[in-house]
Amino acid sequence: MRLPFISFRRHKPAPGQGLEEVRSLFAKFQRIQKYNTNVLELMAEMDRALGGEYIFDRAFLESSVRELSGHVYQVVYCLNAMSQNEYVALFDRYQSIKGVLDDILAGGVGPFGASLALPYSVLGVEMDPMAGALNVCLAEARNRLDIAAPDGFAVTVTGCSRLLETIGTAVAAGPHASRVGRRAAEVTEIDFPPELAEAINYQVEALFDRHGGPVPLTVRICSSAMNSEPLTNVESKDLLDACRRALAGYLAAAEEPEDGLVTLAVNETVSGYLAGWVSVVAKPGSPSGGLYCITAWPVNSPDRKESFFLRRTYPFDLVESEIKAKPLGQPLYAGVNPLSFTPKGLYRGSALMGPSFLRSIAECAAAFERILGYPQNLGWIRGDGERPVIVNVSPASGLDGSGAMACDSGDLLEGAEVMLTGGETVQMGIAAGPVVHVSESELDRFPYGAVAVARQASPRLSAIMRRASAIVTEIGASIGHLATIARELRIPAIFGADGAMERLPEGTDVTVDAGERTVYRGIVEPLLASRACSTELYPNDPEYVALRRLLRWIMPLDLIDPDSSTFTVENCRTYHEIIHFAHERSIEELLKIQEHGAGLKSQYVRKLEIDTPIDIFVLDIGGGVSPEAGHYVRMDDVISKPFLAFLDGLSLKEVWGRDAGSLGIREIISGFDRTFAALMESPEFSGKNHAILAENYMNVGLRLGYHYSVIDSYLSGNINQNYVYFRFAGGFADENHRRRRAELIRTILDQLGFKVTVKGDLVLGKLKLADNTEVISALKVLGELTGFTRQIDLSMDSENRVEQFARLFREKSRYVATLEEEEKTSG
Amino acid sequence: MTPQCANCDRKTQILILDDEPIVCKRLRPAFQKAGYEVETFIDSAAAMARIEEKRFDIVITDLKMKGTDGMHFLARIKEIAPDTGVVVITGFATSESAKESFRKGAFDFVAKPFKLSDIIDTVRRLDENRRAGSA
Repeated sequence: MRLPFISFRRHKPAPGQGLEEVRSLFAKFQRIQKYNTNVLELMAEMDRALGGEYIFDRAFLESSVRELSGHVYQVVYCLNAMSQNEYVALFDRYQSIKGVLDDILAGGVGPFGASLALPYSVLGVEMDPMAGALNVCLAEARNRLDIAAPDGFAVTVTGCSRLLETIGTAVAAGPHASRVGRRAAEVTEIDFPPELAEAINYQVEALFDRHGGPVPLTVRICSSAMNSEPLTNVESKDLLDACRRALAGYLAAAEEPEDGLVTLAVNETVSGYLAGWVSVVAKPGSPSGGLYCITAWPVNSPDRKESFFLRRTYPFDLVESEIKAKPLGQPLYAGVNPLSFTPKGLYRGSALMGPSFLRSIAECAAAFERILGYPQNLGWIRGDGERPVIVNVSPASGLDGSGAMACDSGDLLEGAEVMLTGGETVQMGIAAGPVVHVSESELDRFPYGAVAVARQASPRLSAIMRRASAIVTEIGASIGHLATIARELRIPAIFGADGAMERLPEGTDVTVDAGERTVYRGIVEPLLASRACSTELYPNDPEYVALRRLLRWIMPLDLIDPDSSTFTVENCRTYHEIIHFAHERSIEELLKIQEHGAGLKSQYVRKLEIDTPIDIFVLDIGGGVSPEAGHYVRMDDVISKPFLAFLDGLSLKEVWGRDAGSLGIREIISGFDRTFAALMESPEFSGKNHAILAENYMNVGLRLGYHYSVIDSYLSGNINQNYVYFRFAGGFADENHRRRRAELIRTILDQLGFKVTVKGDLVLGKLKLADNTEVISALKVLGELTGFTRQIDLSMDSENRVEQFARLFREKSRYVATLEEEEKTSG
Repeated sequence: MTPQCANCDRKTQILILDDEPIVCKRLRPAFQKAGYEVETFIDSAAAMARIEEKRFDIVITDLKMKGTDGMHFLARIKEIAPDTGVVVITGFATSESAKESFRKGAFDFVAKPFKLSDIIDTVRRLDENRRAGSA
């Protein structure tokens, strides 16, 4: 770890040593970039595997994690080497995450395994073995599917095991025989393990905090065999007792309790006036994939059940319903009567629910089936909201005969017309619906259940992904933001299918088989029914579970803003966050490259022969200047791509031609302190303009009069690594003049797509996630801007000068228009 | 078109051996959907016994497994039925193991992870070669 008394002043190296130090710093930076790229590629490969297109096994997971860990370690090592061990704590974060990944690969339960209770906000389908199916399903409804479900928490397998152990101990010591039914009677009398009671109370308090106060609770036992009947409207003071009673009920019903597979679901009690289930059933004459059967009853009259049968593809047409006759004077539920008068004076009867609410239940069933891979039975409640609230989820038993479904294509696709084939599978799966051509300006209007067809797999399409049954694009690849979303939501997706917009006309019903990269005309029922015997990677496959659990500690990137106070080592929770943190901090270290200044005084520094009013001295640290160059470096000798672009702009004579501002006595007097300050701040090489160059890198420090600017850029060809940093400060004029000049630069950089911050007269601009063309254009503009803003502070004598000079710069600049056009194209 | 064995009316028969259940679970429906008849094994001894009693047109085998390893399995298939086309799949691909597989008569050598479409294309090519060879 770096010691404070040596942290701010690096020792002064001997001439020649500085060059090696600078080269070494840059070499470490390049290594970080290389390893970052490797990590991103490996992450993309693992993410792609989740989509099901690849056949992989455990060995792939093990080798991927091993390789990833090796690269991330190198990134952490290089960052510390660059920064004199300023980030030693990052090794601890790395070790901690590596430990989690190794544990998951070894079959362990991961860092949540020891938790006795976990809130729904951290649960995902891959945590089923520790949190129970019902809990993870309710959590997924809330977290991933945007489906209404109660907030709550899981008492985990570990928590319930702790309770069962206590029961076992109590029973063994008691007078009763060991029969399970008798043990149940004693459960209600045992003491809760204190740590479990504490964990439950903590979660209850957190739940109440989220809801602004106490809410009635529901407690239910979940085992692999069944979810118990719920205990509802439980107050927090009675919660532990309710947990005991739920467990007693489970033990009484079970011949032998399952070892380690029981969890408790504790969530808010949902009130409503209608309740019911939706499941999948086979009826004579129904499509081979069966129908959704929705049963419903008023919560106060469970015997008044009605049933509705809907098709399983959008728009979920109602096929059949069984509606009960209702007594004339008895309301269906509060405020709604079974019969109403028509305008012609006739009575009109009502079912318990209308078509739109039935459809919204079917939508929930379809979303759950997609994300879990198999049909589920959903318990729902209708309250005041327009959408059903899902309160119970259990796997549906298979349809009669579906297991014997023929899987060969001859049976499935007889008579099916292929409308489109090709492209790349992003997420396997089969889905059907009407084609909707997606316009980015009308994303709000995209209907639920439609097949989205788009020209490009733009990240903006994320907004429709929860509503689409499938997505096909003409341009796009299996890596990228939209691809990750498609895999996250398990939406069948084909990207890069030529001619999709033309071949799939709007409004046509189609069936998409993403695994086969084929779209068929119409709703191909046998193909849809074949999902039961598909080649997909299913969410309950152990490899899928392991991969998702691993990716949870590898992929997420919430630590984004390097200027935020939360951008710290301690907050690096995934490998992705570690490499992003290291990337940002390594750039900061590189920006200090001129602090390693002895290299700049060395014999290797040569003057650049350039036709501008400034002299620039060049230090080549690897491939930035031709080996043929002599004592003076001519333009033809420069190889560094970013520096060539910068020089291109810098040498534009029109921008240097601006008249210098008038200098009044006030500016001269106010400039005295700046002169002194500038002299105090000056490094040894004050007055010289320096360019440290490599083939794909430049760090340029320019001292023009009394302002000082640094332009640092890396141009690797990889959009994730390219950047331009621009720092501008100082000046001779008074504070107001300098502030206006800072505002002028901010205005210009803003227009060019830079992220800009201004502190006093200091302007910081960053351009990231830009391709090579954009970076080169930006550097050309910065070259022009450097000439244009030379001593411009002296001319900034009024507020409207900012706009005037911004306009003047646009007029004089050769490259602003080009860069703006590129920005617009890239989107 | 349903793939048929050369000079007969039945579908092309494939045996798949991989001790990772997920591989068999996913390859079986993929090849069934492509029109093949498929038997899968996660136990190499059971697969070895099966090839002694039934001729398969094509065999897809893992290399590194518990019990009999894939190289031995490949050699035995070629002894019993030299016409059977063999595709080797492995998560531990090296140039040595690839060379050894080809030397023992494998048609192709595929490293895991692989795309479903790629392995199906490989088997289709093999099937076409077999048919062309016997025509």
